[in-house]
Amino acid sequence: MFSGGWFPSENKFGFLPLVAGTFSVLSVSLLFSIPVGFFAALALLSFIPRRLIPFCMVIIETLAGLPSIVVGLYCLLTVVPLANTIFGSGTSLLVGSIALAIILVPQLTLSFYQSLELQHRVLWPQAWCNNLSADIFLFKVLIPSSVHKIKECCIMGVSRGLGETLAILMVSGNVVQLPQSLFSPVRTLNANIALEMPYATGIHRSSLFFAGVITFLFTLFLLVLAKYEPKNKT
Amino acid sequence: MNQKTKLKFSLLNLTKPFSLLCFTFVLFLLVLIVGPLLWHGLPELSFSFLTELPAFAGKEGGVGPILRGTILLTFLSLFFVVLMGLPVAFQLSHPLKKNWRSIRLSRMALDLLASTPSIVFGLFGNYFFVTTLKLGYSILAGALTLTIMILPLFIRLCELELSTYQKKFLPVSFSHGLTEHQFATKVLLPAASSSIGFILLICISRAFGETAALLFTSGYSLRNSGNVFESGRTLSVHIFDLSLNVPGADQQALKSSVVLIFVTVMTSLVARAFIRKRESYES
Repeated sequence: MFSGGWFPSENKFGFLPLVAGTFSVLSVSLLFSIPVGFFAALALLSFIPRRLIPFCMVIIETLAGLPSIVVGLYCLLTVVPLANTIFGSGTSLLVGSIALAIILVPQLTLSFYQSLELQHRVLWPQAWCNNLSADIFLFKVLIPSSVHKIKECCIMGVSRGLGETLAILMVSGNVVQLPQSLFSPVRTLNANIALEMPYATGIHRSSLFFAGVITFLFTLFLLVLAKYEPKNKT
Repeated sequence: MNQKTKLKFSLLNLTKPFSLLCFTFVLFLLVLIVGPLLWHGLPELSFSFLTELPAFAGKEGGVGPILRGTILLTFLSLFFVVLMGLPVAFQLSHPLKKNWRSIRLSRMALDLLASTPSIVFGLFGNYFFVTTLKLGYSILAGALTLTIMILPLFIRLCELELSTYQKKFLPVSFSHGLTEHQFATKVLLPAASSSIGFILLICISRAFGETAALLFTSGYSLRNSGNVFESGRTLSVHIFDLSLNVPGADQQALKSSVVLIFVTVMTSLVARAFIRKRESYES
């Protein structure tokens, strides 16, 4: 099942290149978007004047509410030609993960900010009474106390990125192969379902359904990971 | 006494430039993405684009039937969502049943369904509604698929809303001798109606932006006459098809995406602004 390539016409259904494609796109984009999202939320929490926050939230919510298909279209029309002139390869793993990062960054910022802000509201009066400075409060109190929440936000971001189909399909090239470099085209598991479903029959069709089961199981695993809280901490 | 306890070197000042950089990047994304789309799409957008029939596989003409099909599909699925979601949310938010094993299990199941990729729902819809129930590629099958996709989100949000009202009003209404049915219809629904409305707005924005679940359930047909048993594509499927399968239709795709952005962003912004305002009012 995981050995060999994906050659539907020869009845070979190896999921390995597809799974590898999914995870390469996912990991490249998460490497970028989790730090950016986190630090943007930190800036929103402590460096931006209170008065500007509603305005900033409107912008971030607009970005988080953008339909993924629109992001895909944007990347197809502007980022792909740009990558073509710079790296010499248009649709590639890199552009796919850029599209995914554009979708994920605002959503991650929003969820990080919401969870940190909630904790901030609870803990700030005590910290203020104890004469803590802003940096002690942030790095010794707020962030350690909301580690679990932060982890949960990250994992929900991963599962959202895993579920993303069409934005990546539009820009990542869709060649079934193990990703060789950052600039080689890849095909993700979900993109494969979307591409081959219209004409698949028989065992090909059922193996596409099995690809759906694989993504579903990954989501289940991630959800359990997100909800699991170590018990030894009081 | 007034001296604040401080770290030896301020980590806050160390991270300040980097986090401000990240933040401006996030803000800049809006200009970077929505800017070009509006710049190329908006000047050629006219009212007739919203009503005309598409021509040459969408290369020319408008999005009239597509928009109509999208609206039909969205409202059909919202109807099913409210029909099935509200009773479930009512039961889930009941303060006395909160920790029942069945309720906890169904809450976990809803969480799982809410984070399931939409393409999995598309596969399920294709198997169950299109093939097994023999609805074929139709707006109805798409609407039902969309229903099961939105349902978990709707129920979880409604549960949050209803549980505050339940805590407030349940003891009073029961001590006045109202039955559970009377309580639900006469007290809870009127009290929570506005917040349910805004939750529905969030659901509408989700439904308009959805593509992957509808690809193999509502089909690709360009001309839908408003019949729910016929195939018809939605606006986002239209954009997908124009940008990938129809060469030379980028301008049309941009115009359609301006319409799509307008609808989804406006609905979700109004809903979120309302929710935030109420939060600040309550705290």
